Amino acid sequence: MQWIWVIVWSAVLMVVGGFSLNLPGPDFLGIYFCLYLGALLFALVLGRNFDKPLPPEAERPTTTNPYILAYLRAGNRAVVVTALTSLYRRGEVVFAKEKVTRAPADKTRRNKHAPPDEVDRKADAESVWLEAHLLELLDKRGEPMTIAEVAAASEPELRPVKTTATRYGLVRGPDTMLRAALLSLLPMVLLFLIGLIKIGIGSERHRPVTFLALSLVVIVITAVLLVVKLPTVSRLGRALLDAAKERHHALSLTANRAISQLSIADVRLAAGVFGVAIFGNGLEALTFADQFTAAQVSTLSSSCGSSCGGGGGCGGGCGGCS
Amino acid sequence: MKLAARALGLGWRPETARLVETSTVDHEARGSGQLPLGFVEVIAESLMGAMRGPSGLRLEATLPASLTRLLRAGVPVVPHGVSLGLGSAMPPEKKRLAALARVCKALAAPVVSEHIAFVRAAGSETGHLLPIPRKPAALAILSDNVRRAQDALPVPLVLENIAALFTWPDDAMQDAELLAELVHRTGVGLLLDVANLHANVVNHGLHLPSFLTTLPSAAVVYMHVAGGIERAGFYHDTHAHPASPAVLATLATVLAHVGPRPVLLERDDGFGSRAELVAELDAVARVLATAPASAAEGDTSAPASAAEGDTSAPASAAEGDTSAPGVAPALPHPRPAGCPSVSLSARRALALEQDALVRAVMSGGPVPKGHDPLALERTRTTLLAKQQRLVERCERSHHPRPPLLTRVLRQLLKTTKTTPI
Repeated sequence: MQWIWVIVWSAVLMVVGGFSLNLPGPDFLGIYFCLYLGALLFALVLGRNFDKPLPPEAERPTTTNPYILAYLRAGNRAVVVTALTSLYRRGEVVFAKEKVTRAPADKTRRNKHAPPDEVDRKADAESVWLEAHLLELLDKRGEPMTIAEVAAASEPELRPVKTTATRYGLVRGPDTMLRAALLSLLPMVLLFLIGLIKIGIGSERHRPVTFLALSLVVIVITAVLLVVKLPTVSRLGRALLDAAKERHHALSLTANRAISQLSIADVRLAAGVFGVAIFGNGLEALTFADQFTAAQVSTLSSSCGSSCGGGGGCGGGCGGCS
Repeated sequence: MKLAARALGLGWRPETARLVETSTVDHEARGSGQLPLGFVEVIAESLMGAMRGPSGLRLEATLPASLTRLLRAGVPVVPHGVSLGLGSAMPPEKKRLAALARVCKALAAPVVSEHIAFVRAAGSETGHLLPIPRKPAALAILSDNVRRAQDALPVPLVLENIAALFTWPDDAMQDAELLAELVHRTGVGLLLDVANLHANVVNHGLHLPSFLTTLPSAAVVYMHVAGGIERAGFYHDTHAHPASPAVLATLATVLAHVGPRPVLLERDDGFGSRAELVAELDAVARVLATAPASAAEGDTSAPASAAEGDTSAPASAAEGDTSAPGVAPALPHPRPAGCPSVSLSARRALALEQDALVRAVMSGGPVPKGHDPLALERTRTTLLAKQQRLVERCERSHHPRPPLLTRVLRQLLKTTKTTPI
């Protein structure tokens, strides 16, 4: 299907471009600009939807792995932040002066958000390899590290997350990325070639070609940006993440309002699916905004309208805050 | 969807949404020792905004995704209204009833619950449930209002007894008498709030055995239990503290009298840790589990887990109990037909009384004749404190992120953003 669109678009471009080669400069530039917009739109749409059509909902893979979900949401950095969130919640790390470090052994419990459930902590510590690695890394360094440093130093440990996501078709592999880039940029390349031809014609006729040359520069910059920003997450991956957000709506509400009601696994999952911005109250140190995702929490007016919460008897008439 | 007779419920709030989910939809998958929940209750008003479109259009299917998930899994969700003001002098507003009806339909609710109280008068919203005078004229108005509500709502209405901050000087009947007469006149079901009952025992000397004797047990559809605290001899039903042993003992007594009923734990603030909330649910479940299958069995002794306190039930516990074990009782009576409507003058008279009282507690008006000034002062203080808390919660909800550390950490991310990973 994508091929058909590429061929149709390229044909349109070559026909319109070819016919307009003999037009005067300003008229050509007008048409050229329109073709540029079309090629840009085409590249954006095809680049995003290059993958196979989504299978029926029942056949789609599902996961509750917070790291895979975090990766789909915002890449490696989100995975690291998710792991650090979990470690913070476990009382294993502290944030100070924009850096993360191990909590002093004798003061592990000074993190007031660390849960009292020892079993939960131990089970987590044993089962979560990435967090174990991060602790080891922080121990080894012995000094505070920025999140970027942590992520860079954990690259080998982060690779399995991407590998797993790729295996299930949630992330595009290198071949797919290459094909997506080539096909989505083909009209842009053709447009560039038409521009070059027109510059040649214009130069031959001793006409000014400065604006057209600048247009070609813009086209090159656009193409580079499109390649750099080409989504790595497949349509299936996006659908899986969207489904996880809907599936864990209750988690997002509680994470936003009462972190104490969440287990460590819940905190990790919330951070993975929604980003740390979801923690509205209670986990102050983790409320730094996620750089990619501003988690959208539908705030209910019940947030202010409980039936009671006061002196003698339940009280009605919330109103006001929705 | 019906409520099972021994169903354990929890008030659905954003803070408890995850616990509710893991105790219902995900219960088997989690495989934890956590008790399964049989039903939940949601503040109806909290959904009304979500069910209105941006321009006030009435839209369908705009329930929060987490509630939709519960409904799909077959978990009964009961809307609990707090703002109809059925005890008001004026009839309930049609638009409020229509909004409540929409919520009932969207939730496919088995019943809808409200309170026997008034919440507004003298042009003011009190933000609290205030007791109505227990006298024939007020009862007639209440009954008429309830009938209007029943006509407008698509599912059976059940009404909750409240914890009174004060009593009216001309009260002419007991709480249970009012409930019994209301049930008789309207066929309405009852939501018996055990914590409110306990509050009225402590604060106003309500005699529990007499109350239970007069109470139309068959009308009790489900129950509430909640925590509170006692300050200076006055019990405050805060919904922000664990249910005390005394409240659990009252629950045991009531269950021994009326037989097994669905019981729902309400918590609106001070949620504590999940372990604490689960422990509280466990405590309620233990009391519920030890309730006799039917009050007719005559086992009125309190369960061992119900803690100390007077847990004996009256000997007449079995009277009128028609509930079958395992199934929540159907609503007791069909609504009697042909009840006379109330005269406008009667409504005006009650309105004058309620207006004067609300002015006294809301805007420094004179204390109405016969009222206890201390009780009204306490009411005023309570209302103010509650409104302040609501404002604080609203502010937290609108500005949920604390600024200082957020800024610091945002900066941290900004600085690291440039470093390729």
